[in-house]
Amino acid sequence: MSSFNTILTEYQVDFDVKSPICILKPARFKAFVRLMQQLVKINGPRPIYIRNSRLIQPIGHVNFWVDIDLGNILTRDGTTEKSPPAKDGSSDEGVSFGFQATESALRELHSMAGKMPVAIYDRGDGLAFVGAHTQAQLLKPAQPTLSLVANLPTDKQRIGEDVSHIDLGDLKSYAAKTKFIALLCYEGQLEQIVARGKRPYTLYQLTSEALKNRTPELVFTSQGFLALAGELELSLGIYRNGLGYWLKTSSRPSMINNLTTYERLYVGRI
Amino acid sequence: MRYVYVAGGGTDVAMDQAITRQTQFALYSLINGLKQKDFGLHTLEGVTCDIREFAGRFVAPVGGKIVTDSGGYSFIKGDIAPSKLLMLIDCYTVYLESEIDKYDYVFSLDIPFSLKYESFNTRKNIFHVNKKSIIETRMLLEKYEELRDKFYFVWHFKMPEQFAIWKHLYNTLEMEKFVRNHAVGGMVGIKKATNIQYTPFTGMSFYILSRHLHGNFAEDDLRIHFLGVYAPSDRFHIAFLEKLFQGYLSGVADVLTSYDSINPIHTVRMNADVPLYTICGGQFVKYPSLLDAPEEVLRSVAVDDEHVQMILLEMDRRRNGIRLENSAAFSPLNVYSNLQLDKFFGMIIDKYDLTGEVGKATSPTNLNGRLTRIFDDIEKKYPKSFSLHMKKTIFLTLERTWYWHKWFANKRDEATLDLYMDQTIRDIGFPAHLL
Repeated sequence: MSSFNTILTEYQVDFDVKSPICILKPARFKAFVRLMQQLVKINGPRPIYIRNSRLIQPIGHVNFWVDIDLGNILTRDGTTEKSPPAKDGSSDEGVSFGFQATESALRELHSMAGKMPVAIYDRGDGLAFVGAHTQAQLLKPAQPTLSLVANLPTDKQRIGEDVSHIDLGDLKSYAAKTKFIALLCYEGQLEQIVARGKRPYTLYQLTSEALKNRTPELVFTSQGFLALAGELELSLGIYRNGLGYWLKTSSRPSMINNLTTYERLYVGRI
Repeated sequence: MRYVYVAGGGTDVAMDQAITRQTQFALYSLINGLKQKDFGLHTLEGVTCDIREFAGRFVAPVGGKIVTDSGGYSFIKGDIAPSKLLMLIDCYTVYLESEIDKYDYVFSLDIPFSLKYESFNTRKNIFHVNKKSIIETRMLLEKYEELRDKFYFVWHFKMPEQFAIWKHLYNTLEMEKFVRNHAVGGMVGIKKATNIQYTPFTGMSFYILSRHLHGNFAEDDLRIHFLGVYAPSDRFHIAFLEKLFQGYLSGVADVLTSYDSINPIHTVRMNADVPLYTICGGQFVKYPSLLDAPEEVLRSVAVDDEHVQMILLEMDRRRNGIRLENSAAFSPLNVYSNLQLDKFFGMIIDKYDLTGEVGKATSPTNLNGRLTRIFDDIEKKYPKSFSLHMKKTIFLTLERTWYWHKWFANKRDEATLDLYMDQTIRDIGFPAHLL
């Protein structure tokens, strides 16, 4: 055994290696818990299903879906070995588990975050999150897998182009806590958003002049605008499939591989 | 020798543009995403966006390079508690992997000591935390071949215990398989703390050269970066070492050195009146103040007419003792001046074949005589280009370099290398130690 391998073995003994589902290093564990807390905050407690380090499910209701690639956060062995993104859930390379996400359970996990790696063990009816000094037990969902089938729009169903180069801080400050945000499309292109009682916000600054005295052909209302969105690689796009119009928001909050939300839009203003 | 602009310190677009255009090399630290009390991947995300934006806006248009600094300094100055070091290492490795195609170079996450948590400064603690950091990084170096081209391994040598730790980790973790580029850290404030006059990094540079020649990339170019160097005499020595090492590796590979400092930017913010150096038609000219800059120089530095007018206005304010509206106004001019000075150092080393003189010298006494003769001539041709203090520093440094050169040219053995390094570190006599 080379000297590096000897050292590596010693190093891995630092972790509790008794076949955990995975071991999350401190920053990744914190990011994971933070993300789960955001999901619960959007629409209350729910079962969370992760398959091959990927989470695809509706949050709250079937009109709001998330597709989160956690391949660089949930790794099988707690090393930086990157799991390949699970495209169709068919491969078995990533990490899979499910749990009931409640505010109190996540608060317990949050208190473990920050200093040491945390291992996740399957304990039959629940998942044990074991840190260096304490552990937390989370219940598994009654249904072992998600029974809903995602019917999300594909790239070919995009209307116009995705809008990127968005200043998230600026846009969030404009939208503030407005519950309903109107999305305005001109010639099939998402160009502006409107928060109630405010003048429109043009997503791409140079377009402002081109939109003067024009009326949008399509107006939608979003109820989950920018929920979960991060600053890194943020893009917004309008899509249409058999179920209707969707707002697709894609970004990499907390450096995760990708987080995409799909929100089915109400056509018109509320 | 290249100067690396330390970016991210302000919001002056013209300044960033004017400086990056000159240096074509910028350093951006992760520190702004790691110094918060509740830091994590969510705070790292913000600084990652900033680095991308800076690179896209200022570095890419001039075909430059960007190097990411690990942000380990936030631990040194006490923003991060020792209990959160694993968190820091994890943030760093996530960045290293996630942004691999976004940075040109990246420094290793080195944790040499803490200014705030003194009880942490033990050999055991420093060894263990750096071992973890290097192991995590090594796994990525093993996985991503392209990372080996981008990665700089930062060495520490000012305390004997630090050097022993870094040397041990480099050897036992077989880092020679992965490290192409090296950096020398821990030099900020070293002269003040030790009262040494000579440049302290000669031994470390030869040690790096030796590791390079014994490693897997011996036939490839050698890059050495010197972190936090500003003194002209130290920069003169970097230029000298670059040429000396280029001579050693001539025909096999090139040697590329660089250094970074916030000093050229900060000095002029602090109201200091600094000289302007310029090379014009092969002539080296030293103006007493940046305020004396010829229009031609000013126009070559500024990004556009508006920028020229802004600098001229600030010059008027400074002359009249009025507080500047833009404290960063003279930074691009000072960077220009320092780049010109570096160019002058290169000219002098070539013109007087200083590396050859060190090679020909039979002893430090003999070298001292040669240098005295040469610098007398320099004084005639380029009056006041080297102050007495700087000349003395260069002499002292080159006399020490003579021993290293003889070792490299004649023996090149590990036993003497270790002996010389021990002696060098003892001579530096840094007042603090790891317990």
